[in-house]
Amino acid sequence: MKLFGRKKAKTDEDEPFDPESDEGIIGYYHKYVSLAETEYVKFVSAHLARLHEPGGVAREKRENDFIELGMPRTYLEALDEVEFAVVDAVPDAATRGRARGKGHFVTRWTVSGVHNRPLAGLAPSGQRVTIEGATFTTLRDYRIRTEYTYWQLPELTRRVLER
Amino acid sequence: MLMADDARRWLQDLPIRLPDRLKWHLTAVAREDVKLAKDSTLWLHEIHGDPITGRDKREARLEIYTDDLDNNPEEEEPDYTVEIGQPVSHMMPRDYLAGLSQVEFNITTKIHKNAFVALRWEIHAIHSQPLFGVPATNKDVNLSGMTLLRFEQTTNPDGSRVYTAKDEWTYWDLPALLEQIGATP
Repeated sequence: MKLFGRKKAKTDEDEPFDPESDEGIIGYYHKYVSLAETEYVKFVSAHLARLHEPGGVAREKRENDFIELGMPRTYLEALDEVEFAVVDAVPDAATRGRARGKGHFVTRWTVSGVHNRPLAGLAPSGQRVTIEGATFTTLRDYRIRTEYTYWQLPELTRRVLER
Repeated sequence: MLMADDARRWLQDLPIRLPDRLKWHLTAVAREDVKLAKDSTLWLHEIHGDPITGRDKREARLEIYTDDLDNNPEEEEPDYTVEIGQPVSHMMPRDYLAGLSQVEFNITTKIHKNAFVALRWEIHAIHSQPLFGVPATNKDVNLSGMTLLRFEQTTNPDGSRVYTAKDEWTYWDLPALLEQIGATP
């Protein structure tokens, strides 16, 4: 039985499998899904990185038209020389039937920048600070639709919780 | 509008209708992650003092549809257990609980994949105790946040499997809470 109607080019890195067996179909499916999820993660990570460029939020909103929820990214107005890095990303993409194109992605990230303007009630310190956060991104039809972002400034958390 | 085109190219090669054996396999794999998400939900509700009461759907089905259940492979007892306990907490502690009462805790979105659970939640409570140096105001407060849990699977000598929550990351909207209770950093 031919599962897919076209031939696949063989490469050295492909492990031999039998598409007629259970293992073959399942392995083949997981391989494709894994490749798709890797691309999804790259797409979402690139979007988040662009958000943290100067003028990035307005530009991304124009190009992606997504709804931004959760905590507002007020740190972007308070920090200079912003550096963004993704720590971990977990994809959960829908791959079956008509649900394709949908997915939820959780990305943990850090942003570091020089604290030159007031942030969350804290006076500017002029020091480089690191903010840790996570974003819950929802895609529909392969496009970003909503994003929930939560972040913490360790200095603020420390001061408040020590009271 | 930007699209995840590269992901779409891989997925468009998959058939719309999957073979039954593949569907069964995916269902079995997803079942464990669903259980992790359910137990994580119950755990978070307990922590926030708003436990979920009432019977599980499975228990209700066992009572009502006893005859059909004998042939239903979906109702087999799982061969693993889930322990959440005290995972290593990497992010913000839940110190808001000290000052809030009558907590209504709701999980709004959850995802579960590969022994990883992410839960987005919202709390509605009353500021009835001193919190962050602010005396009780008895005001309604709303707080939202996210909890991420990573589980690790181990196998016991008797062959049974255990999922243990290893790491936890919790983020919540501290500036919004401070604003609602009238606190300053």
